[in-house]
Amino acid sequence: MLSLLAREQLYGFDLVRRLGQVDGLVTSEGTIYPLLSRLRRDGWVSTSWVESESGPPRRYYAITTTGERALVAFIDDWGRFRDSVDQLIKGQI
Amino acid sequence: MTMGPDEMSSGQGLVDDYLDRLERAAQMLPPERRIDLLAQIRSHITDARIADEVDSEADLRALLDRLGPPEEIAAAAAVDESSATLTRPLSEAEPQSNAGGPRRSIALETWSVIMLTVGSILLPVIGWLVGVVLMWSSDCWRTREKVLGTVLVPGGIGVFGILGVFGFFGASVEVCSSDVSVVNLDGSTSPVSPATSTCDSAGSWTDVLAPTALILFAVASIVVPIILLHLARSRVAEENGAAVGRPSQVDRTKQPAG
Repeated sequence: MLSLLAREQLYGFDLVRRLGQVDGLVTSEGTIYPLLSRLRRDGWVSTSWVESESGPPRRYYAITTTGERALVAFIDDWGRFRDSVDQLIKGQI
Repeated sequence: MTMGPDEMSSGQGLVDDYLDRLERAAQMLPPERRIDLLAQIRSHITDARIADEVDSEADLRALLDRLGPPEEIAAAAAVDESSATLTRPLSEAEPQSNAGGPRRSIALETWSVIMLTVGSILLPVIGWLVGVVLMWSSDCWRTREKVLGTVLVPGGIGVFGILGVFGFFGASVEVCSSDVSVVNLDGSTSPVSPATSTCDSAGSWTDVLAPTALILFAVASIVVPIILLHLARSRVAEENGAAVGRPSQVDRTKQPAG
């Protein structure tokens, strides 16, 4: 989620749909929203309301600097994790 | 959208049903969280109906299915909620009970004291007012202590400095040095020693009292904030469970030099 927001600010709906496109990652779209709220609570994401001509204002999510730092740390950890797992699997084969 | 009026209403009924289920499933969430979640889902459905060009009930069902069962969404929110409660960052903790938050700092109290003393010199009246506002907004001091803090140093030492220079001292100086000059016949003036009676009677009372009061207030305006700060430190240290911060340090500064 953070990696998508790191590139640009997104509306909630767009964010959820994009994540849904990644195969195997999302079972139900609705469960992404609680996660977004969690990110907001942790201060990694900030939201703002943007007026839209076609209906009520929509919520707009953007990553914060704290969030960016968290993302960088995660990518780092993830890389190491992935490599370790790969090694283990190759070892077994 | 090409939904007929009948489909529209049943479509809306479908959505309402879904949202009702969600609201019921989300009862265990705190109200703010629940309202937030409902708003997010509602907004999503609105956007999805447009983006997916939903124009039949079947499409709408597919959309809602994709969203997932409301119970699952509410459950996900509940899981986040409970783990968030456990790991809530300090900044979000309710400000009511200080006993709940660890390591309470006395930054507010320190700034209040700084503004009451130094601030009232650098920024007369305004600086002191800021210090007073900070003092009253702190929960470290009892009300009577705050009242004493406000009354014993009204305006702060800065104001008293100004008053002293222009007010009291000036008045007594004026009384005592009202020159009476005698114009001599040759045009020159020779000062006559000031009427001592004027100085003694009118001046003596205020002469002694004014500077004394001034000095007392000046001392109080420094000492009282320092006492308040010391109180704050020892109380907060108690709360934090640490040993009371070394009082000997502060006591030394309170005592007059020598």
